[in-house]
Amino acid sequence: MAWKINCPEEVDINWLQNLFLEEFNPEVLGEGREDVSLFIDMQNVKFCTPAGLCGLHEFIKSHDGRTSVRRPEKNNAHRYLQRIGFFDNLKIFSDKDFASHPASGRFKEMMIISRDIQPRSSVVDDLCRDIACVVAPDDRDFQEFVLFCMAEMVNNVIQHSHSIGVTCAQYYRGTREVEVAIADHGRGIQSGLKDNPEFSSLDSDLDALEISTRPDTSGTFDSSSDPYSNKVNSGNGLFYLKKIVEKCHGHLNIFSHSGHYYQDGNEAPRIQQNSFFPGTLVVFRLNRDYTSTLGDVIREIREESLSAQQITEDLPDIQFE
Amino acid sequence: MNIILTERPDSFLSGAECALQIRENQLVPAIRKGQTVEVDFSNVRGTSQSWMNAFVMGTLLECGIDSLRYIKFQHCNPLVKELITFSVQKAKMRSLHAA
Repeated sequence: MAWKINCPEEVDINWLQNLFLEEFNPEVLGEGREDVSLFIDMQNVKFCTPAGLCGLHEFIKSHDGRTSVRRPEKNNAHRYLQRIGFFDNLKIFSDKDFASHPASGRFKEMMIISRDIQPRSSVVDDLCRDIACVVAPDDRDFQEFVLFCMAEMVNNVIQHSHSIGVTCAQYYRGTREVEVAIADHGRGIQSGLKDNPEFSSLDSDLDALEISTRPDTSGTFDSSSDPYSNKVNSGNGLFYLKKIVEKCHGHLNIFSHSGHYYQDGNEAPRIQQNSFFPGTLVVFRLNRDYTSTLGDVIREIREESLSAQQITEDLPDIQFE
Repeated sequence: MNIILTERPDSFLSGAECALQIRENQLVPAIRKGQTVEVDFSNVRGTSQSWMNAFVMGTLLECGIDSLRYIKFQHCNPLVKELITFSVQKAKMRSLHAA
């Protein structure tokens, strides 16, 4: 049986929320392509966001059989997909008829987060720096928000997904927003959490999304024991990301298998059933008009955390020199 | 003992595994010997909280919260100070919870 994904004009978050596979007869593609088992029709595409592209990329990568892609008819859309590296990463349509210009201030091309990345090298630092400097070249305060959120997302993929991921970013001048997406076709958040005996009976992607955005929660340790003595993971990556988005009035979307988590600024998150995504996709949007500094926001989060725990004891002295 | 985290100007330390490596190879062994460790944050504009937790909180939970007296944090900008404070607070909460 073959399947078809019919891409609309806008390949973005809204599309991912409603994505479905249609049954398809590959014989209509012509001779020699009868064995195509996934057909991506991008003919009508006019506009793509990092979320849509990373999501579609991982959909294609997760597919075992032969995949065929139909190019967008609109030249602008086709050229954007070439420039952002969508076709190169999939090793299709290598015909380029343009000279690349520096993308500083606009977008960061799709980059693969490979299983071969040595987590203890500086590759993760370089990857985050590349993205932040491209989408916010002249705004150091804003760069720090992007660096911080990006780092939490990349650490998450490296520690939990057991798969290869892809990331890209775009700055939208009209709305002064940055969208950064990172996706993998790994085992999903629910499976990751189940490594922790405390969550071994978890059987819902929706519950997994809610749990994963709480503080001090991870699949890599049992929170009833001492989690940090020999592990790198403190179980707070998605929690910090959620809190930054909340404080900065941004947007956070997480797709993991059949679950979708959406947060709009400081409103209560909405977690609902979604069409199946073959891995995890995390997307954040931040607005450059937000004027606070990362240090101030971290202090707010820390103070909230302190009051939630109702701890009255003073912190031990920290020796800053 | 002196730990220089980076010589590359304007670094944002993101990868938590790198923090774990410095903790395992340098910071914890020195503390266990009773040595004072000066951690130099020159050239560091910031870190992810995961990096800082792997470095500071992990050490305090491994060696005990009192081991903080062996660590001197040098040349920290306001953001780095805030990230360190948050990590120490997390370690304190954890140790109280465990007790």
